[in-house]
Amino acid sequence: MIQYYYLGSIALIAIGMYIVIAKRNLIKIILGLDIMDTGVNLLFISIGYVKNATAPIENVPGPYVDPIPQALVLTAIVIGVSVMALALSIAIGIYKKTGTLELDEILGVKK
Amino acid sequence: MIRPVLLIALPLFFAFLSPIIGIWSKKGVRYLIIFATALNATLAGILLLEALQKPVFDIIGGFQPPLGIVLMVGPLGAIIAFIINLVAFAISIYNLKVEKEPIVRYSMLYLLLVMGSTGMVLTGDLFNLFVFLEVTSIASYGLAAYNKDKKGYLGAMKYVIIGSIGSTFVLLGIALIYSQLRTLNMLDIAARIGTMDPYVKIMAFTSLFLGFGVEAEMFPLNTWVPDAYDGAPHPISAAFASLPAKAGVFALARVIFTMFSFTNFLWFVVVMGLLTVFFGEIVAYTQKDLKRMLAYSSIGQMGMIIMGLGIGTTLAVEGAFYQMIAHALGKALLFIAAGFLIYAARSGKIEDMKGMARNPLIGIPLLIGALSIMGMPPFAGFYGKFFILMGGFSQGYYAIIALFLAASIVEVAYYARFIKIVFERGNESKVIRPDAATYVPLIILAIIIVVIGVYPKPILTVLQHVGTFIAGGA
Amino acid sequence: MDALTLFGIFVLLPLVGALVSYFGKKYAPIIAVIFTGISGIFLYLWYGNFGSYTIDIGVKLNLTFDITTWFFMLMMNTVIFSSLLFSVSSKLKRAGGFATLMLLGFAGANGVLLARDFLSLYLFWELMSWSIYLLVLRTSGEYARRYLLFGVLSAYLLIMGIGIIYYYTGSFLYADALSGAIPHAIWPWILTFLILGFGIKMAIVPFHVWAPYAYSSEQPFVAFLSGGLSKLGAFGIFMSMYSIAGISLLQSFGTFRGVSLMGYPFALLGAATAFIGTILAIFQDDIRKLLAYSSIGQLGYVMIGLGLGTPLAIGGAMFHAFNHAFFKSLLFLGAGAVIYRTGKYKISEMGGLGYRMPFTFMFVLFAIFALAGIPLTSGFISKWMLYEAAISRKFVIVAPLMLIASVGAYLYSYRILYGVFLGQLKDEDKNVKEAPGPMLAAMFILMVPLVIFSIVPGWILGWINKILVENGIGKLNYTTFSYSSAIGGANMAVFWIAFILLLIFAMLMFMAKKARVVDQYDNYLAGEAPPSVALHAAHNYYKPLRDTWAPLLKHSIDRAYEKFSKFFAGGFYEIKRIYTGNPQDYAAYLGIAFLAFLLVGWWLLW
Repeated sequence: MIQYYYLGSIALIAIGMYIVIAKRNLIKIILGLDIMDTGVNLLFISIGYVKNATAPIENVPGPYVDPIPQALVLTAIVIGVSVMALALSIAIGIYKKTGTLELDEILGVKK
Repeated sequence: MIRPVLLIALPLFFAFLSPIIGIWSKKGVRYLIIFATALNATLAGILLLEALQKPVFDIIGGFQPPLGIVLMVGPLGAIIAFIINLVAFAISIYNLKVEKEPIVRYSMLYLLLVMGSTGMVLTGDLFNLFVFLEVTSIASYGLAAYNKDKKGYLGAMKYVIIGSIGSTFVLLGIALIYSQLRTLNMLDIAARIGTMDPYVKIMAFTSLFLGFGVEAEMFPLNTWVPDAYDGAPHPISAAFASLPAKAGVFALARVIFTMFSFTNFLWFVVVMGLLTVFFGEIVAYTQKDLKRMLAYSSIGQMGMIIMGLGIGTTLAVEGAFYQMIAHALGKALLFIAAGFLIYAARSGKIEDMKGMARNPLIGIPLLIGALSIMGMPPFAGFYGKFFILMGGFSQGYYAIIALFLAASIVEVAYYARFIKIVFERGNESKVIRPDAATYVPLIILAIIIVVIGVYPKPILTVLQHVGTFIAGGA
Repeated sequence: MDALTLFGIFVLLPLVGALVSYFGKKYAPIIAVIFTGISGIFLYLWYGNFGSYTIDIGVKLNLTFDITTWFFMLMMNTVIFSSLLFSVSSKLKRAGGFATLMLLGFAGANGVLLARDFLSLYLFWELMSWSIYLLVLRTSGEYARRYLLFGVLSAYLLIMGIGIIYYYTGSFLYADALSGAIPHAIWPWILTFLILGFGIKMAIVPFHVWAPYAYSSEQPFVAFLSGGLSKLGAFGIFMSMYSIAGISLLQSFGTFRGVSLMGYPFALLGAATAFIGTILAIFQDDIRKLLAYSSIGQLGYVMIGLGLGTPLAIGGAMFHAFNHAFFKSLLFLGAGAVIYRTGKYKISEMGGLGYRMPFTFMFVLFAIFALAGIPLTSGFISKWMLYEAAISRKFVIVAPLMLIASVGAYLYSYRILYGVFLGQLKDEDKNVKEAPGPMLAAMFILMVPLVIFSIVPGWILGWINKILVENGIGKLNYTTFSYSSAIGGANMAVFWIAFILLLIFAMLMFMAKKARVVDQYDNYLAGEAPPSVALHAAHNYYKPLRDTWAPLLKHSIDRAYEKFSKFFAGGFYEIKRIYTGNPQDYAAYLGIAFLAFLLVGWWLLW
């Protein structure tokens, strides 16, 4: 069961990487970055997964899932969001300066 | 007795204090960051003295390690933190020259950059390292785009794309390590690294190595460097070369030595270092733009440091650390001087800067910085380079050192070209005198470079602890 | 004397002097003269106070003050003292910077001479290198870069040699190199790296292309560079061959007529240097370039002696290095004085200055005698020793090349003598005055040893003999006035007596017939009024000779280097293309790197 999560996360990372490399639109590239991030987060969560376990809350009988990955992933998501926000704001800046989000055109103008 | 956490908490406090100060006085904010970095540098100095006695462990929030987050400050970490803060202080004086608004946000981001870099050096927890890496990165992305022109935005964009792929890799590496060892404390990881499945171990190492390699400007992950350095404001270019880059390479050292005590894979690191040097120096030779040239030169220097780490003998790693210090000082100096030259010549092109450094206040520090970067005695850059070379020889890397020396000759060639132009006669009327905000940091940095070059004993005393560091200690 | 005193007087004092004189502005050269004077006085006082010391500045610097060091320091100190004295009155621009850099170079040179471990050797070597670079930069940027590149190349060749030694011994000490840890077959590599590294500073062919341009800078500096600092190359080669490796090790690589096969190729290189330097010097019209090429040629002789490695050859090389230090810096200073007074560099534009600057003329004349190796000067003895060393072992390539080079030296010396000082005085030079006092004093100081050691070569041969004995090379047969070798020798007392007798005879001849001074338009012209330029034909000097050599002169090592560097720079621009500027390419690099790392790692594991 857990292997599917692994496969899923690797697939997400690969898809994200593909988007970053192949798509020529800045917004798409940024989304690709986010997909990669999500893939890693999924991997992290699945590491902490224990079958038939519950959340580690006091007074609830075990077994518990590992709580640390969840805490870490929460942090990672927050960080991912802020990087995303920053990347998008930079994209807005680029759009203001060049009037386009197509990478070819942006770099073409630069030449 | 100083708690290392102060080094992180104080900049954070001042960073978020600055908008409040900014309501009353914009000028006050500028002096606030000078004060904050000076305070931080002093604290880091005291911490260094403490760490020399024995490594300082600071347990955060009362959770005992390996569960809780811990700051782990050995002598090496302390001295890198000290140098980072010292350079940050020098650069913050030069920040007075930044005219563009909003200065409040600039100051905030700058302090966050300092705080993130310091944190990366001090922390003893892998995930915490990731968090500080991200803090540093986010501050850097913001600062790289601060000029709000096309060059700045594009540079920042490249930095964001490469940087976030890099941090995704770091996170991946952390996940892999956690999946096997169920711990994030570095010393704990080091103790149990042998029990990891070797294939996963290599994948984790690769992820972390490449992830931190982005900040450490390792080939081929350094592609963002020239654009981001070029587009950023001048003090920030100086800060990029000295703060996050050093923190990144220190994290790399942590990965290599503290966590994965590889011995048979290190030649690979050496080769990566060599490639970094090679491409950095060669491409720097082709640059006509001063800041881009310095950025590529910075890549070359970082490559040398990575080589030193990869060689892995006490002498070479000592050299790598010395080089980190020397490069942080020297490259910050050169970028500040570059800022002045660009301002004086009203152009970023080297050929337009004819005779611009003929004022001794700028010329002498510039020469000292350039010579130090070239590895000339009696400046700081000499010992690092010499130790790395000798360390390389002692491991029998003859061919690699020979290629490295060839690349160094290229480095000398382009620095000499640059020096020739900026000291050329015949443009006397246009030479202007730098003002205090420019020459004070230059002179501070130049004096430190000369002092630790002429009398390296204090630094080398600290670096004696390299043996423990390689063996996996703090 | 303890370590700190030694280090302080010879290295720290010049460094402090460098700092102080920077702020001395106009008086900087005087301050610098005082500082070098102090360290000079201690040098004379401490003769015999030899010993080894260690300084700990975090790394350990092993310094040894012994006769070899003392001998070379003597040259260095006298030369820099007189160069700085000369510069007192030569009105340099930014004299503070000049004095500072000279003293830095001096400190570096002293450090190199004192160093007995590779770390301090390399440290001081580089210190000296970059201070010279900045001194050259003061007058010419492009050539300064060329100097620095060769300087760095020299340092890196040294590093290669040092590194190989370090790999085997794990120590930087000279003394540990011979401990037997280094395999016999590795030594040729080490020696080649070290000798070529040091040789670049001596401007041996084919690494001489930096020299003509660097030697065209300000004359007081060039006098120090050519007279003083280039001897460090000779010192380094001597140390690496005969102190670090040692004569018995050299001999163990096989011998050719009693000369080590390790040394002989370098003797050949030296002969080529002597030859090429001299030939090129003959055809220079710029007096600075002429002296520069002459300097290259003369150091070729030193290289020959060091390569041959018999006691006589090394003795000759040392003696010649010593002489060269004095006569070449004297010549550069003399040229400097002429340039200072006339503002001209070209020999063909000067002439007749001997009448206006008699003292300068006299000093330069003596230096030229020494350079050409005319008997009665110490230059004769050193060259004669070298000839004998080559002839006695029947070296049919080295000896003839030396002789040809020696004839060439006469030719270019004569060009200076005639073109600058003799012949017709140019109209615009009618009001030229004698060089100022400090300049004359500086030249006089340099001339004194040349005279003294021509009469009593035994004193200097005594020091050289000590050096040879201390390094286990052998010994010289010498007395106060003469030396002798298997095939001859030279006795200066005989020469001097003959000379004095001849002088008296000539005086008598001269007195017997009353001489009359005639105006130059007054003779051999048969009443025809000449154009005034025609009387002094210094244009296209040696043209027939030049035509003869033309096919050879066409090939230039200079241009070969230029082509070489262009080729590489072109390659650099190709490599630059990997930085495309497109972030997607960069992301792809990252992805590829990740996969490559992973696969290589797994493959290695598997």
